[in-house]
Amino acid sequence: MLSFGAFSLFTPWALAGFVLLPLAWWLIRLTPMRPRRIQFPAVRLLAMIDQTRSSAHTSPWWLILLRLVMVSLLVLAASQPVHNPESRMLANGPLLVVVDDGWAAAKDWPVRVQQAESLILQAQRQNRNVMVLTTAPALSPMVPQVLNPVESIAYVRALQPKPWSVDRRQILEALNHPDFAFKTAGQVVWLFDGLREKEGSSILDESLAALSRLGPVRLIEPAHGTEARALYPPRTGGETLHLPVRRVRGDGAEAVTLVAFDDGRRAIGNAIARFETGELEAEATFDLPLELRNRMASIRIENERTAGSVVLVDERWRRRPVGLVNDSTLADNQPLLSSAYYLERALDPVSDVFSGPIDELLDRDMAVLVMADPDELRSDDQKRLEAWVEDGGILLVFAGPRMSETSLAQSVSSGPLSGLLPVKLRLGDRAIGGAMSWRRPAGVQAFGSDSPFFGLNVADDIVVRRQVLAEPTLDIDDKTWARLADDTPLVTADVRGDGWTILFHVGASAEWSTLPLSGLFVEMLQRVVGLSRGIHGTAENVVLEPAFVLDGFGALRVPSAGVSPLTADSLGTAVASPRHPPGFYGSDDGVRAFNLTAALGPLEGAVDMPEFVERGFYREGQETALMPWLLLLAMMLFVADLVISVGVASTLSKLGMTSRRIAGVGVLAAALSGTDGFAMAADDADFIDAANNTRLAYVLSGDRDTDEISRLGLQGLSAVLAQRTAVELAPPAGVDLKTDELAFYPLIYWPINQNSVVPSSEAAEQANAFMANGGTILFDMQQSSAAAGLGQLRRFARVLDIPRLVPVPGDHVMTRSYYLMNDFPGRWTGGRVWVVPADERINDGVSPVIAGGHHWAGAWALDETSQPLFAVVPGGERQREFAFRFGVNLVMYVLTGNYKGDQVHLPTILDRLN
Amino acid sequence: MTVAASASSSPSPENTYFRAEELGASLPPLMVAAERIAATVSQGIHGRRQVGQGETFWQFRRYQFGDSVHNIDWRQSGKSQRVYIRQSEWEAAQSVWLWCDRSASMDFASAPDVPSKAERAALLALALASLLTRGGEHVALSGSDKPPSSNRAALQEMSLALSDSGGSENESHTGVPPTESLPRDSRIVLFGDFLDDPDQLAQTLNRYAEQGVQGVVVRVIDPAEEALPYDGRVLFEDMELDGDVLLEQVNDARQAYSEQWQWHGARLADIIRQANWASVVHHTNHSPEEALMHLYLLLSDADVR
Repeated sequence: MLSFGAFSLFTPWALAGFVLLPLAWWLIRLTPMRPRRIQFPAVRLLAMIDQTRSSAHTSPWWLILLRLVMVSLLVLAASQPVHNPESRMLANGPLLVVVDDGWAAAKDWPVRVQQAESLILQAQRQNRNVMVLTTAPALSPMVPQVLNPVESIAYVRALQPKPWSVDRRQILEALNHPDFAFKTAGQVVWLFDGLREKEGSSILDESLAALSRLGPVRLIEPAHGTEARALYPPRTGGETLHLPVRRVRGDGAEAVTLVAFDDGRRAIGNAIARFETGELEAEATFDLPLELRNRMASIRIENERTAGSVVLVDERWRRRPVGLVNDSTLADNQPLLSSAYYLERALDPVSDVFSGPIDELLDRDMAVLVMADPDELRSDDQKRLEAWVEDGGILLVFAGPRMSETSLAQSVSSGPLSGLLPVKLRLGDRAIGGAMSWRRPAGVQAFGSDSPFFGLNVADDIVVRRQVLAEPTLDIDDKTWARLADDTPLVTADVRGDGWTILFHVGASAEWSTLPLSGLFVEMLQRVVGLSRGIHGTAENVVLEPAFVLDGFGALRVPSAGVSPLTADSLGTAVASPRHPPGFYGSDDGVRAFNLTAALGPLEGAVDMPEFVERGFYREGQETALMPWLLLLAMMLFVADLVISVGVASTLSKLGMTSRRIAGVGVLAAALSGTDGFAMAADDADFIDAANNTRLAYVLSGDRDTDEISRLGLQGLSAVLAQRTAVELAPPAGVDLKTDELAFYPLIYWPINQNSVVPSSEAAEQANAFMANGGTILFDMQQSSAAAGLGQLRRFARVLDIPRLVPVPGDHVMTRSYYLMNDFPGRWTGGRVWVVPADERINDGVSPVIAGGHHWAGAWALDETSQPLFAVVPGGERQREFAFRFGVNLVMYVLTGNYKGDQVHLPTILDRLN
Repeated sequence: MTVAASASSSPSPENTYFRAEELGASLPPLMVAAERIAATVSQGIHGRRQVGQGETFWQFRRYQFGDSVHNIDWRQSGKSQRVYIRQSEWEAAQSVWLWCDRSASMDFASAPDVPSKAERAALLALALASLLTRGGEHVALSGSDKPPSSNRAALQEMSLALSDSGGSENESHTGVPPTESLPRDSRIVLFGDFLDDPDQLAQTLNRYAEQGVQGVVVRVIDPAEEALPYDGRVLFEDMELDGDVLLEQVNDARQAYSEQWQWHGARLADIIRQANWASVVHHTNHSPEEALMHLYLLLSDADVR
């Protein structure tokens, strides 16, 4: 057998037939083809020609070529070529197939199944029995069973990858199983997933050794670089989320795209992890707006469908808005000593802190409100605050001098927030230790198991010098979350409706205690904020029922009956198994994510193998014998030859002649003019089409996703325009600024992001001409933070002829060209939109540039079923409606110019505005 | 151009007729320049500068006994004591005979977008006939029994006869014009490919010359006949006789054929010149207007050449 590449020849000596080719050539040249018959009027004149001069007849070159190819094909077919040859099984005995069906095998599962099938088919041809061993643990232990090939194919087809790791000890167990029937095997084939067990484990080598005692072992592994990658649960780093990605082999640099999805499986963001050459771990950073981040439900490696490439995200990684009540209008003279400063520093890593007067904060949607040493509230504020807490808010109050003073001065029940505090306070405060006291300042007790702070380490050096005291009541014990060493409550809390009120009996600054200086303070605040994430209950050993679990391909499914609940405290340490597949556990009011990779160490590639193992790679495609195809081709050529040379139909040859002539003309034209001739013809049709149909256009950015979003966005907008207005637009066109004619488009949408390259000078020239001649370009920086986007635009402005821009004035035509509107939201909102100040003399007052960062195309993009593709934040569908309205106004403005700015309509508009 | 665009459509009689009319419409009515007009010809437009049948006033003459009272011009007579009769000029028409070669070799078109030679010859003949009748001249198809006539109905008949594929019995299929006896001083226009032996044409022209008939020879040529645009091994089949010719390599024979073709053309031109006739060479891939204009000029010219 002779092989080169994916091809092999089984009878290579047949190639000697090629020696005959020159002989064939000579023979072919001698036999002329049948002449063409042509009816001709002037035959009398032809007959008078002296024919002795005419040369010896020869067949045309293409006929010779055709026949030579035919002969070559026959010779080649005789050598029995095969594509993708399987290596043959040599030894006698049954076939043992070991299938790794853990999470890492899901990456190219169909290829594995195909490989197993082709092995079994081969065994079938050779009348061998088959045994299939799987390595991933299952609910019921595997019983090794000898199957006939037909059964085993059905068995292999029914196999599915599991969302947990393989356990190869099963092989050893199976080999030692009393039912194990083989003493020897003809061939052992291991469909390997490319991963070793944990570092330092020798199970793989042991099982290989055990298998090799049965027969020759062949190990088929994924091609290097195609092994599964693993995505690990995120670390929170302030405002960003960092996700480590690991791979098996460090050859070559590689970029892995991660996509975050919300619970409706809509993509809400992506990030890229870049592996440098030699690195096994890379990190991707998600920097998403808070609102989006809180909707994140899972993060996946793009285009990889394994359970290890998915990280489920639960409330732990979400940031909640925390309001810091700050009533004082006066600037603090010692800002670094104020309680607000301590609170902000402590809360910042886990949440987004907003500070302001209480009524403003209540206007917004806050998860937690923090008040340090609160003052008397206005009664309506107090009422709103109570309602807010009942509704599920968490009110966190720190004691302070003001609180103790007012409670001292007034009756116990009418202090600030009196109705809202978890406990009644005693008058005054208590100082522990100090110059006049024997007692030393008190430390903090370890937290009880019923406290949400349970498990936090209490440092010895925390001392409390002063605190407010609770009126002792019967239930005070249940309300207490933390105590001082002398059992007086340090933190008390009470449930109120769906919410909590929590009182720290010390101040938030370092004046009364050293608690705010410690790391414990941060952790305690995190736990408190964590409460707002819907994780009710203080006990960590609460039982979490499985809600959704991952299957082997990383898709969420309803759990099967064999899946058992997890306890909350075991979430961090549990290893994914048939009883506990990764997934979401918990009930509706709070699910916890259990990730496969949480307990998965670094990936260990199988680099070294014992020498007796024959190694191979998975291949796409099965063995194909090429001989029938070659013979078929030769046959077809033979028939063609017959038709041509016998001239079965003279029309055929006539056709042949004309087509050759056409081809000749084509080749000639192409040679003379390059491809311009054809391009011009195609362009003309395009131009006519473009001139006859008004359409929106977008700039092709070169990034497929961005272009697709632009296209879908403009398409969605066109649909809305057709529904609501008289504007009926043809499907949007993508334009390449450098090469395409722009004159046909009234409006060009130009998405700009970090990856956008500054246009080349030709492109800039075209764009400038477009703007100068009345076109409008909508620059969309597609970022919620306008500053970065404007930087991008500034870069562009260096080459583009962009005039001075101003924010859209309130009386701009765009605010009333169809709908009356004040701001122009897209996928985001709140940023500014910039235009060129209106000058009625130029372009009918239409601004050649409109710039903003609201990612309008994202808001306009609809899928085939007219469902929006992307979430808009924060406003939901109402915001999307306004985004569409902006689009309608924009197109109207571009198409009709200052028509709506005309004073004629002013009374009506004024009427409606009032 | 309408003509070119419709050239490939099927040559039904009406179609050819209308196209011919259309073609002729671009030129003013054709009056054949006549040196002498046979006495036999009927009333027409060529004034004979003598009294006779006609429309145009020629002279007043004193009434003589025997003149018809209808001819007395009463107005003129009233001006004087005498009685005058009004006489018109004798106006005569020239008769032109047309002949189309309708042998099998005329039924050849080298490409789908080129009309066959027969089609083109019929078109030219009809267009010419249309022009002539509008000029008041009398036209007849050579070989038909119809006398020359100048009315439109005759034109229709002519178009039917030309499209009649078989041709009449007394016409040969060898592409040689008939040598029937024509009235003296009439004209004849011959349309054909004249690929046969030129001597046959010479005999015919001599015969006409003896009768005092002069005319024009229109050679209708397909471009492929001139260029021989084939290659490879080709068997050329004669369209009329069984004389097939096999060329092993047409490319090699093209030069020799071209010489042969030119010699043939020169020989034809010689014969026509000797007979003091005129000739027009028309390629079927050229527009028919060109040939028609040429014919128009030749026929309206006093000095036919």
